[in-house]
Amino acid sequence: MIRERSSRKWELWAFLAPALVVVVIFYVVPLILTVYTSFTPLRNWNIQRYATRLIGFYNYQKLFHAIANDPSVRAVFLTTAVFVGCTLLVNVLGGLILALLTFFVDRKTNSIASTIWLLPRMSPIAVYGLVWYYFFHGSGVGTLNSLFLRLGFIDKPIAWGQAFIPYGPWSVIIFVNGLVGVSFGMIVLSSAIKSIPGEFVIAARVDGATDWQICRRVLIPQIKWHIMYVTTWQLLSLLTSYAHTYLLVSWRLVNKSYGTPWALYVYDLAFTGVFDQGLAAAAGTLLVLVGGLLGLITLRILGFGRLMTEPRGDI
Amino acid sequence: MSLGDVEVRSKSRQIFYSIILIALSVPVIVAFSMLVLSSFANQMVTNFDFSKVRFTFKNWQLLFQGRIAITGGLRENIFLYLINTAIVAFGVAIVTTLVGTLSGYAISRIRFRGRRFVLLMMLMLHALPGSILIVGVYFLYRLWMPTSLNALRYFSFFYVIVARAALEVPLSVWLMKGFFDLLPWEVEWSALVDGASRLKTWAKIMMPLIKPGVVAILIFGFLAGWQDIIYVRTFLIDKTLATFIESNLESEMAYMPLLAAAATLYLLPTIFFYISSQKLLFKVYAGGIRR
Amino acid sequence: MASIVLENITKKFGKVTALDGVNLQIDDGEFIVLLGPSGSGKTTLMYLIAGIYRPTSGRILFDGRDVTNLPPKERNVGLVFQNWALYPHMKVFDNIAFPLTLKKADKNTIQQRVHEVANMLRIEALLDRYPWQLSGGQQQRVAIARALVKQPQILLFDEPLSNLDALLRIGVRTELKRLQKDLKITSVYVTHDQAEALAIADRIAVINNGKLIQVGTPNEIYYNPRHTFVAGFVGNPPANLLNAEFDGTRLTIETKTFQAPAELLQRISGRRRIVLGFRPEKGSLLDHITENAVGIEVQVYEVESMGREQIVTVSIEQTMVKVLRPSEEKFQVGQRLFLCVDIKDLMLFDFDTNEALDVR
Repeated sequence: MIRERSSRKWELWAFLAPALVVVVIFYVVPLILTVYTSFTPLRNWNIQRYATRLIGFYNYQKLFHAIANDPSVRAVFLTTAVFVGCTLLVNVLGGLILALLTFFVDRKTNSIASTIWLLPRMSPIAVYGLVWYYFFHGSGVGTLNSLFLRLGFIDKPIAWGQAFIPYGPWSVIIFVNGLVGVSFGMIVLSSAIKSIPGEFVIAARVDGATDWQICRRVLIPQIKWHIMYVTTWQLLSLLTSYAHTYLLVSWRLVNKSYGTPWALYVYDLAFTGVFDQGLAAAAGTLLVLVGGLLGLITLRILGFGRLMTEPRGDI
Repeated sequence: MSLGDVEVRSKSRQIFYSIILIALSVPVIVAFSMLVLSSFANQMVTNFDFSKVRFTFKNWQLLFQGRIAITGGLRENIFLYLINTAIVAFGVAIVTTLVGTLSGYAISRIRFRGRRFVLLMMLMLHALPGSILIVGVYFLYRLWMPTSLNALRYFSFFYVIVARAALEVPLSVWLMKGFFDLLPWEVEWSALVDGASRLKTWAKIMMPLIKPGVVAILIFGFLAGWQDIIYVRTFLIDKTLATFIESNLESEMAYMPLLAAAATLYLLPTIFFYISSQKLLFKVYAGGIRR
Repeated sequence: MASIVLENITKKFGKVTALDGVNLQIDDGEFIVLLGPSGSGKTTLMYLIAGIYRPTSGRILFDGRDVTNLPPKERNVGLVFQNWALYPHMKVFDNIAFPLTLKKADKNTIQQRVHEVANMLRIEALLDRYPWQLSGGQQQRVAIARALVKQPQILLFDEPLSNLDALLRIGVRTELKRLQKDLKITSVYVTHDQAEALAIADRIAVINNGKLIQVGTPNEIYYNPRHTFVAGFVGNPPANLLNAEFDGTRLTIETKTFQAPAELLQRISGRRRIVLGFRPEKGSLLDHITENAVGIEVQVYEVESMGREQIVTVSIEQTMVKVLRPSEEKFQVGQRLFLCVDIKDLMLFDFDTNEALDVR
């Protein structure tokens, strides 16, 4: 019996160990290191020299001071709020509209549309960035410029991401990131709509409901949970991802201050501009705190705990 | 599927919605096709000005010759970048799949203390991407970094693969758990009664049964590694297609249609996997939720 | 070959008690059927024997050896599931050979043993196919072959016939019984089909609500149910059960009163209410009351033909009673008759405990 029990335990470890090792090395340890670094003056990755010195909350003070006084950091702060809020709106509403539209069209159109909309999400980030780089390019090469020139809306090319500060760069990053996230909402919501029994829709049609009424009264009420899921999940994802905006800023397509959300700011501090890892870690820790809190609330709201099924058997 | 609805809804409405749907998709189609077209042209065609455009394979030729400008002697080994990108992508795919299938199985099928905690932790980590911990991840990289350049190159490959895969591990565990949840218990019990251990059951019975799930997660992992730029540029010593494109767009002498060719080349596997396994990927990109 | 002893088995799933203090002895080579409605705990009991579940309390002994905490693979049992649970990605041969390959048997032994069982179950021609290429009956044979190939000491069947169509079921059932008798393997067979249980079992264990109600041979179960549940579950149609009031000398069903037979007085004395039961085929419908029988006035409610026989439903006020009569007898709806049951065919149960009152 003892032998049997220990062999069970051994097997369980064999299954779980890889994931636990990955989680410890790439989540737990980095979290500790990030928090630790935020209390050191680490810069230029000179670990021997700086990483053993502790300077208390100096980095945090510096950060809050910068938010209050440095216009470029304040711009980052503001950009984060606008970027996350607006992109989220684009993602969720766009996803919902696409999901509803695909519900009402035939299978073929549905499949083509889904294919097109998943492309932004699947494409290599560099390619996707390049695509929009040319689209919003400040010269006559830019697709948008040439289009507007032809239509007579403008008489000379405009650098969309650098002009009309802050709305120009904001619009560009919201547009580019918005398209990436729309597919998530579309896929989740349309699969949720598909799982609604068809009788509901047919019954509503027999009762003479219009398509709009079917959306409002039948479809949307039944996918509330999924809309919630998409919203909260996408919120967290927007708050923490920065790969797409990184390229737009680094290629100078958009203004640096008004094109940099917080997550990218953290990355820039540590790896591109000033190489101030202590400050970056402090900014990162703040992001982890906010994100972690939102994450916990999300799991609570969505009730994932209740969704879990227990395994069967006692083997 | 709303098949039952087909009979009752009007054809004209359906066409109307189809048109809206396609119209909404136009910017994406245009932007991507301009890029692909430019790769076959002597200049960027992104401005719809086709008057001076000649179509040519010159860009592709230059690309494979490793020249980034029409003139000048700067040479880059595009094949090497392609291989590097593939190494990272395959590495991420394998690590993601291995970890996901092993732990997904345990969480779905084995009763153990802390199971709920592990699952909720995975969900939490999935909700909150690990990329925000990159300062810590790089710190660790610095601590472990070997001193000799050659060793460092190999180490950087290894590290970037595992670190990038780690980002996808929570989702893959959650997803694979979902796939395992759907398998009938009787088959598993049969194997256990027949004398198989859990590991044997996993390898011989369950893995073959969730082959579609495994394929989905493999492709997903591959695409995650393939599309990455941040981790690759942060950790990897060698260049990939992503860093090649990133750095050359900034350089003044870069010949733009050539970059379009590089980007199109970079895009090809994505399109291939997308077309070949659309249904499976839908499941993955939906985050594996069922309710 | 082994005997099985279940000692005081209780199994709880969280707050739900699936099995409650089950005691059962199964002899070496015996064919026992666990019979009960769905959700009664019969499958749970079988999974406990297989080792898929562990009892919350109690012990399981194989041949006197405590196996309560052994995993399934160390119990040497063969298990045939309701849906047969064949490995869909393996050919029939590999399906059957799987238990042997796990034991690392050598190639020749595997070949020989697989062909042996395949031959016995007449599926040799199918060895090269995949499960999805087989019919239900064939799949079932493969499942049995896979259970048999490792020469288990115990065979377990979880409703193995319920996925087959009705005609096939009867044929397979006969074969199964024959096979078990030839191999003399102790077998536990779970079903909710009472006819199947009666046909196939050496002994039947009736389970309801996690409790073992009665264990006995098919004859004992059918003719001498120890509990109203058994009487009301076994038989098609099952036994009639009528609530009756007793005033010391006379029995009253609804408003109809008749003299309690002297033979039964001793068993029912001191009770105010009892449950009277009888098998449908034991009732006769006549225009008079026969001797050594109790009779009560009834009205024909409906007549359903079953070919050779007919089910006549008669009413005593609000209470419906089913009687099985030969087709030759003619009845009309609304007709008033006497329902007569021989005293020796009457079953008596306690009204509160539902248990049988001491028999003869």
